[in-house]
This record gives sequence, C-alpha cells and structure tokens, in this order.
Amino acid sequence: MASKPLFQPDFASPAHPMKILATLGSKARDRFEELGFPSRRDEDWRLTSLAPVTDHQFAKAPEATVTTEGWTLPDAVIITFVNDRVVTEIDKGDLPPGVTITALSSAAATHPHLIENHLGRLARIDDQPFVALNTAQGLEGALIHLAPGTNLDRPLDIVYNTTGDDIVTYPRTLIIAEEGAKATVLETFVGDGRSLICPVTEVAVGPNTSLSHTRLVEINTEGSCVGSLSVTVDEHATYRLSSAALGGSLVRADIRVDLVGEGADTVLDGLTLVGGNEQGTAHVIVDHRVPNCTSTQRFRSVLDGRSKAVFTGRIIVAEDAQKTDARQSSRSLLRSSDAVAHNNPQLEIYADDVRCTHGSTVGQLNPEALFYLRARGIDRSTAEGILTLAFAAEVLEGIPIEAVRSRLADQLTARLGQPSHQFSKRKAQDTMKFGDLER
Amino acid sequence: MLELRNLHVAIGGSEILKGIDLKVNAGEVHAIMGPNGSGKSTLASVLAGREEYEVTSGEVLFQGENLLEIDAETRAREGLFLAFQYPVEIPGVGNTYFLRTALNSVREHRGQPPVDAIDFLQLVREKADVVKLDPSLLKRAVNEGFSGGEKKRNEIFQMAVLEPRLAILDETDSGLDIDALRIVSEGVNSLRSPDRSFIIITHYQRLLDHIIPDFVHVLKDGRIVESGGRELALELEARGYDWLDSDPALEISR
Repeated sequence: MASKPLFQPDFASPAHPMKILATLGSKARDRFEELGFPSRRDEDWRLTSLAPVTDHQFAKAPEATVTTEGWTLPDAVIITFVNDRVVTEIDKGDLPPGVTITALSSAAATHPHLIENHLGRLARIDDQPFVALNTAQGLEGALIHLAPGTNLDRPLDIVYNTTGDDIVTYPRTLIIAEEGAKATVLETFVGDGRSLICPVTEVAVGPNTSLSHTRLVEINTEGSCVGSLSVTVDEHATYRLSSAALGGSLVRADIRVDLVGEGADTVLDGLTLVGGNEQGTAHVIVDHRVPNCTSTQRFRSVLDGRSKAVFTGRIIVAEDAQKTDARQSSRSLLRSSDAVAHNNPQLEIYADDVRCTHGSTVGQLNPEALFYLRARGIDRSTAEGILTLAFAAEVLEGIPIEAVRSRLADQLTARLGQPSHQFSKRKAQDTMKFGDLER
Repeated sequence: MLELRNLHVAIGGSEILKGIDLKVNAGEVHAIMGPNGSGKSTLASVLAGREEYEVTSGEVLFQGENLLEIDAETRAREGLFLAFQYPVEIPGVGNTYFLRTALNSVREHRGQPPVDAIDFLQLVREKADVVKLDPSLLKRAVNEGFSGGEKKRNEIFQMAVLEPRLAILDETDSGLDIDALRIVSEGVNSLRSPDRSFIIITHYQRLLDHIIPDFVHVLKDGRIVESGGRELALELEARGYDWLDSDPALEISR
C-alpha cells in the first residue's frame, strides 16, 4: 500500500469472556496487523480497488436495538442482526426440532466442540486479511446447527442490518448441517448508508446433506461489502449457492468451497449488477480434494456506467481427485462502453482423469434481438431491460425460493430503470414488471 | 397506405436501392420478386426501421406520415409489421411474455387498455390455431430451438395477434416445405381484409400460388424494372429474371 490507509480498524473492544473466542480473536488481530489490507501487488486483489474501504474512517458500529422494518421471507425462521449482533429473540418453541440457533458467545459454553471444530477452521485468517479482521472483532455472531437428519421445511432467513453512516460491521455466522439434514438458507446483507460490511460465513455441509443457500447484498451505492464465504461439502452432499449483489461502491465476495467427501456436488451461481463508479467482484475457489465430485459455477455480471466487474474462478483438482467433473462459465454484459469486465478462469489440475470445462464471454446486448423486440412495438429501453433480465435469467431461476426470485427480478428491473444506469439516448422508462417471467 | 417516392438507400457507402417508386393502397397485396442481391430484403429492412441503412434521398409515406422520421417501435405500434426472413432466437425471454408486452405496447399506442393474462391466453390459443402453431412452443423462449418452419409460423402467428395495417413478409416461404407453405399461406389469407395491406417479398413464384397478389413488381439491381398483375409472376417462373434488363431506359428499345 503506497500510503497509510485512512481506515484504521478499532480493536478497542474488551477481550471476549469465552476463552475459545478470545484466543481466536487475538490470533486474528495479530494476523491482521501483520497482513494489513491487501494491496494491488497481491494477485488475488490485483483487480480490486480498495479505495472505498481504505479511504474512509469507519467507526465500529454502536450497539443498536431498533431496526427499520426490512423485508423478510414469509413463513421463515427469521434471524435478525443489527450492527453485528443478533437481535432476534429466538423463540425456542417456534424452532423446528433439530435446529439450534444461538449466539456464538453462548455456543462457546453450550457447544464447545462445535465451535472448536469449525469456527475459524473454514474461513482462514492466515491468508485472508478481511477474514482476520472479522475474526478479530469480537465474534458476536450466530451459530446455526442442524442435528443429523433434520429436514427443515421452512427457510432460515438471516438478515444482517448495518444501519448508519461511516460505520463498519463484522457479521459472523457459522452454519453446521449434520449428516442427512436438508435446509434452505437465505442471507441478506442490508446497508442503508455509507457503511462497510465485512461479513464472514462458514458453512459445514455434512454427509448426505442438502443445503440450498442464497445470499443477497442490498446496499446503496455509497456502501461497501467485502465478504467471505467458506464451505466444506462432505460425501454425497449437495451444496447449492445463489449469490446476488445489486450495486455498492465495492461489493466483493470471496467464496471458497472445498469438496471434502466423495460424491459431493456443488452448484454456485452468482449475479453482479453494477453501474456508475461501482465495483463488483466475485472471487471463487472450488477445491476438489477427493475423487468423484462435481461442481458447476455460473457467474454473470451486468455493467452500466463506468463500473467494473471482476470474476476470478479457480478450480483446484487434487492429485488423487480422479473423476472430477468441474464446470465453470462466466459471462458479462456491458451496457455501457465505459464499463470494464474481467473474467479470469484459473485451473489447477493435478489429477489426470478429470473433466473440467470453462468458458467466459464479455459482450453487449444482441442488436438483432433488440431490433426484433422493437420491431414488435416494444420501446428500446423496455427491450433492453427484457434482454438484460434474460441474461440474468439462468441465475435468477436457480434461486430456490420463489419469493426471493421475484423480489430480485423486481429489484433488477427497478435498478435497470434508474437514470444513472441508462444510456444517454434512452427515453422515459415504461413501467416494467418481470415478476411473471412466463417461461 | 404506403407510398415510396424515389427511395435511395445505401449501406456502408454503397447504394442498394436506386430510386424506388411504389404505391400500396389499403387492402392490396403486392408481391416484390427479384433475383438474389436485388435489394428486396434491404427494402423490407428500411421500411421496418433498421438503423444501419441510410436513406440518401426520396421519401416514404405511411398512412400519410413520413415513415423515415419515426423509430422502429413506433412504426410497429402504428401498424407496420415485418415478418423476418431470419427470426432471431432470444434465450431467456418467454414467447408469451414477449408477445403480450408487444401487444400491450401496440394497444397503449392505440389508446386501448392492456390485455390481462387470461384474455391474452385465450387470444393466443385462437391465433395459434390460425397457423397450426403447436401451443407448447409458446412456453419456450422466443424462437429458441424452433425449426425453420416453426419460426416462420411464429412470425405469422405474431402478425395475427398484433393485427397490423401493413404487413411485410420477407421471404417467408424460404425454408418451408409444401405443407407448411400451404398452412402459412392460409394464415396470411385469413388475415386479408379491405383495410390491411401486404407486401410479399419472395424469390419464387410458388408462394403466390397460395397468396394471390394484386400486383407483382420485379426488383433488379435496386430498381423496380417491371410491374404487372399476377401473370407477371408466372412469366418469371417460366423465363427467370434474365430477360428483364436492370436499366428501365433500355426497355423501350427492346
């Protein structure tokens, strides 16, 4: 880093009363102080401008108890964070059997083995500065535990609210789904001001488990979110991720999925929508450590204005991970000539009997398709919206919860209609509604 | 309905249409025939509003308005319809959704209320039957995975739904087998009416066995070199295009 960053994280909070957490926290703090913020010289951060993070002073978020009424899923188990802390009073009687939801600080006492075996083991502080930063900041988050065989018929809806300007939050969640469990989880990161969210989520997917995970970042154009998601998938388990970020000064997700048991399967979908001077990055690592696993990555970005989107997708296949089937596709749609998209597939294959495919494209809306729609009476701006939504459709359709899918489609539509995201020659926006995609 | 006066069109600096005069009245069916490269599809594209073509001189009046000053979507809303020679596949956009959006755009322009999903479905079923279009195709994305014949039927189906004033069929017969040709032609014939006009662009006579034109024009090297009735098409079928000279001035001495 050429000059000292303006953002100096505040580590002043008292050491954690629980020894496990205190030890983890102080190690992480030491590690962060060694690492500092990543620089452009760091290969994994070469294409990310950290200025939105380092050029502001963000204060540690004050404890807040009130939250604005945000959007939550109907019929879900709702867990609400406000500024790092879980504020939902979890009604134990309301929880489906087999589900434990508890603050990490209580879990350290009640479920020490779970904490010891997983927390900080999946998201590693050694080479990830933002994970170190999060881990150093008190570990106030939540543990979600699904006992073996738990079949959740209601989704878990975790909402992380960061409320206020010039503050930073470090939400932390550990999800452990034991053997044979089945669940759907939604995480939504909401920021209402010029704030920074540095979340870390760790997910352990046990043998024969099926976990469907959706992550939405809903911050405004002044806010940033630099998050990390680390997952292990055990044998014959399925982990499905749909991740979407709609704007933000800097929205970055570092996603790591380790396939650690034979027959594990993962599908990772991502959608980034940026405009203005926004930056969106998905940095994905899928590590095939054992034979006979499958992985699919489908990442899409839509860019307006002078925005930038980066996708880096690394597929690692260990030496004995034979019969691996790994696929990756990344596509970017440039809706402005000033936007820049980078798609970087990276393959590290040490086994010989594998199938790995990757493809990446950067393009614009198909002019033939655009003319076809216009020649049927649909105005240019609506036609561009329809085609953009079609571009994102594959990712949208992968979202398992209908309410989330249509809400995201509506948000996309609304965002695509904003003046700051339009070409200069576009005309007044017609009302569009894509809730009913009618496919 | 439509009047072209001395229309000159160029693309990339080379002139394709070199002075077209054509008048199409309400209810008339005009066939435009001609060899490959004569400018038939250029004519269709210019009328539909493709922006890559440059009109270098001349004018086009559509229902009394200067057509060249309005954009493609407004032309469509005012009742101009192009059945594409090569309908594009649009993955991710449902056929039904697309067509309802189009219909409601047209209706809004006409000051009519939008059609709701249920009424639209009814309309779609009815119109799909006109061209014997398999309704299951409508659940797919626009033209995605359609055969050549299905794409052409879909064009005529869209025409039936949108009910244009002037329809331009650009080589709708190409790639159709005999049965499909008959079905598509019957669809077109069922839409003929005293206040709807057609321009049928085709290379071959055979489509005109089914859709009987009022007038036939021969386009060669960017000019209309011959105009006549239906019998002209039959003569072209028998004699080809070579006997027609591309320079109309020479015809007098022939």
